Amino acid sequence: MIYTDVTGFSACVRRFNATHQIGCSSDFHGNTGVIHYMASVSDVQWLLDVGPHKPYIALMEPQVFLLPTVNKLTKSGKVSGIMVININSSQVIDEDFYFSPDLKCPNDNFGFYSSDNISSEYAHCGSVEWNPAGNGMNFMDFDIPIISLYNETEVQYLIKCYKDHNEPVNNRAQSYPLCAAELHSFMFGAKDTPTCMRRTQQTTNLEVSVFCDPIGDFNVWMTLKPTNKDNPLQEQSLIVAAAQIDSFSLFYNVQPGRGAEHAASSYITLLAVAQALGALNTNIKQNMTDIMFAFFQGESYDYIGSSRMVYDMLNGSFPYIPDASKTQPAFVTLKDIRYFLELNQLALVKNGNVYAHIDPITYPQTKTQTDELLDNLQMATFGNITIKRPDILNQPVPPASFQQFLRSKVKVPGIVLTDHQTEYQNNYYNSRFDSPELINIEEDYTSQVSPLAVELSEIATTVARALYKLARPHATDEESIRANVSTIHEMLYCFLVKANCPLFRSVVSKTESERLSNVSYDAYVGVFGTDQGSLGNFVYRLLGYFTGNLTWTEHNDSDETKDQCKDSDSDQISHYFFMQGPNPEDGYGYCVKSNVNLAKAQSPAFIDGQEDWTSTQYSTWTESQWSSTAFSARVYLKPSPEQESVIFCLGMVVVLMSLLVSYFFNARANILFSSI
Amino acid sequence: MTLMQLFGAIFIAYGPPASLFIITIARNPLRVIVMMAGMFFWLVSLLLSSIWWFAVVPLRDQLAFALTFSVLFQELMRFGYYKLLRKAEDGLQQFNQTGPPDPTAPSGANESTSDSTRHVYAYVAGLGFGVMSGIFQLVNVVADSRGPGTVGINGGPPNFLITSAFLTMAVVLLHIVWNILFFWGCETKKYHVNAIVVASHFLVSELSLLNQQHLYTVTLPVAYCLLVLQAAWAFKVVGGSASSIRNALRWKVHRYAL
Repeated sequence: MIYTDVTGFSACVRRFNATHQIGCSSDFHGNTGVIHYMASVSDVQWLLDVGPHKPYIALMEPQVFLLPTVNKLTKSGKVSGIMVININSSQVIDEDFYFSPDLKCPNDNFGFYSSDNISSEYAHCGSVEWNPAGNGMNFMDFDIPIISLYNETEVQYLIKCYKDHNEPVNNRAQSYPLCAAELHSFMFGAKDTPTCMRRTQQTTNLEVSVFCDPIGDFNVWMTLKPTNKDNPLQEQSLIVAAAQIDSFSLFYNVQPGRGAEHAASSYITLLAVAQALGALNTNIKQNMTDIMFAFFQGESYDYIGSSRMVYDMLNGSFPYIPDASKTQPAFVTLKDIRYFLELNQLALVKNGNVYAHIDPITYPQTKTQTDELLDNLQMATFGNITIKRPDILNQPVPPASFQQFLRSKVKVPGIVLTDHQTEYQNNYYNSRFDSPELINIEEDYTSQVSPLAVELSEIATTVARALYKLARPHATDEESIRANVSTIHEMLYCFLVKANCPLFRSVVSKTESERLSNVSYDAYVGVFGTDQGSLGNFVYRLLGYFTGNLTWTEHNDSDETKDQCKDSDSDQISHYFFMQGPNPEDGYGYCVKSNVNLAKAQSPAFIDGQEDWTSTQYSTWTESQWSSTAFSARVYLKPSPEQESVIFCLGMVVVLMSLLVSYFFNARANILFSSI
Repeated sequence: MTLMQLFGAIFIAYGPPASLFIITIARNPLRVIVMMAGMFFWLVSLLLSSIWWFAVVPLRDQLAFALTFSVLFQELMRFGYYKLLRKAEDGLQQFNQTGPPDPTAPSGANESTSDSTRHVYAYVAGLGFGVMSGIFQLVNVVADSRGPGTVGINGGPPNFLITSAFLTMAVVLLHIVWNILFFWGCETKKYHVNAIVVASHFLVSELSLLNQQHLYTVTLPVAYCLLVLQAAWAFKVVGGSASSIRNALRWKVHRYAL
């Protein structure tokens, strides 16, 4: 009768780094305001010039939700919250629209070119501005709540409420009662990482209060041949193929899957490469140089995953801290890497051109291997794909995990493959618009493969054949290596549209498949904890499925199966998990034994015992805590202040009158009631 | 509707009974006891109505059914309280005597309960009944009124809070008046008075069903008219008259009627 709850929304949350606070938070009791719908600039101007009923909550169409407008609104002091409409994003936006809340120079201070002793012509995107669409909104501090609405019915309801009660007539505001909203998204943390981490660690009462948590997850990596520390690696004996898993957007847990062009295109392609190479005979694998596949998490927040891997490699603790009692994989150091190939943003390829970016500063010292890598890539091209270097030869490498490897001062030869020559093709880098629709993935499940899947499979085949030739220079049978188009198509659907799909169901157990989400898993890296996030977990499982040994087991998901199919404490090389396979009704499944491993993607600034929360070398990003009931929004009619005063005054009058009358009756009782 | 409206509504609905309590009842422990017992009896009637509503499963959605039986149970408990009070009167009278018998008091005051005392108990019991009824009537509305919104987003009436508060005030005062009349009717065996009381209770309650259609222009005036008329009647019953009002309004009080 009074309130209508709005539940279909994602909120902008607060994060911290060593020096700043970014993001949004509401007041403790929520922010209230009169709704004003903005579909064009004139609506914004009306609020700023005329709007008499402050505070307002702006209900904005996405074309109007741009940084200059938001700044004007917040500076005016008239706006106490913003609701952004986010239904069917791609259909609403026209061709010229671009929106990227990341910086114009992503991960600026943590890449290779901004570190000490590097010539400054490349620093801070001096020669190429990678993300010109960037407005940096993700890194600004708003002290109003900003939410993104994704439920179409609720959006229509809000617009109708506005039109019935609030819409100005002849440029004049309506009178009370007005349609208003209340937004709650209170964040517990404040100021910056050192402050809130210090507050979290202090136990002032017996209660534990947590204000923020470091963000991070787990990197997924494996070598094609299992290694053992008893056989240490030779120098320059490893080929590394890498991709990034995560991306972010302004809003927490926004649907559907994000990072489609930014991350999904590359890690799905790399998974297809792993599948193609994993299918090779064991004999052949034994005779190859080992290939390591690495999937990094947390790269969007100043290279969390790759910086940790490089740190561990430099300290001799990659992949595990040396432990004499356990069987461990061989330790990897940076000097062991012969070639480094990274895949980054591959879904918007134009005319089949894939660009190979080479770092101009280390190229003179790594010329031989880098040229070998490039030649093999160019010789292995398949389908309509051409691999070429950017026209400007001394252009730096774009923001990529490879920059962390370069930063280590070890001269690692490497190439980053992307679909863009200079600036990004992606106008929605790290935003809620980097969605399946952007790269033409169908919302409905279809077995007919998409053109994008075909293109990515051609890239995957190219990369797989190139890596094969690099690992086995005298081989002649590289033509037999082909990436599987339908698997790529499935993976695109499962990772970006709906996790509850046949491929994902087949790599989990029966009970787990019943709990699969009906939307996609979030691509945001999330808070570092003991368990891996869902998206990374599926990268892990698919990698194991593609490259591991499958043993048929009789029972599906029973306790006996679990006992037979689990990791042993002393063996850190092999890992086991149970999957029900493509025919779950049959009642049996497979125990997968693989050497796919998880490595902590936790910034070195947060390692226990050596925390450095003010670090400028490593990512110090943390996420604020919020209560489990933190996010709520509701709509109601706001009464005029006059109505409220009238009722209050009436109440006072009634009380006074009744006091007087009661006193009168009591004092004169024996006269008033005397006729008895 | 914010705190201002919340307090406004509370003052409107509970201001009169609160003032009556503070001024006429609070100093007199016996009256407090009688009032509390009255409140308890009303709660018992609520319990019985709830059990009845819960038991008759098919008619749970029919508000009119539950309402009718609730009124019936309230009147039954009113009668029950009358019976209890009648039997307990003499004992209460003994409690009232804190010192030696007062020689200047009107005759008969020391032996049995006088009529005026009986009317006082009827009034106090009615206040107890009414306060409890009023609390349950308005507490949910008041609780919702604390937030920033007012009724109306899905098409309700924006003056819901103030009309509910006034209606509650009317009901509380009506209970006082009904109780006085009811006890007098039982005492003097004028059972038509009891019938009128019960009938008017039914009238006011059933009319409140019209509130669902926002016909506040019907329910409020009827309730207040009934209140004024029956209050006048009750005033006459307890010994008031037009001349006694005139006398009371005089500044100097003549101690002896001449």
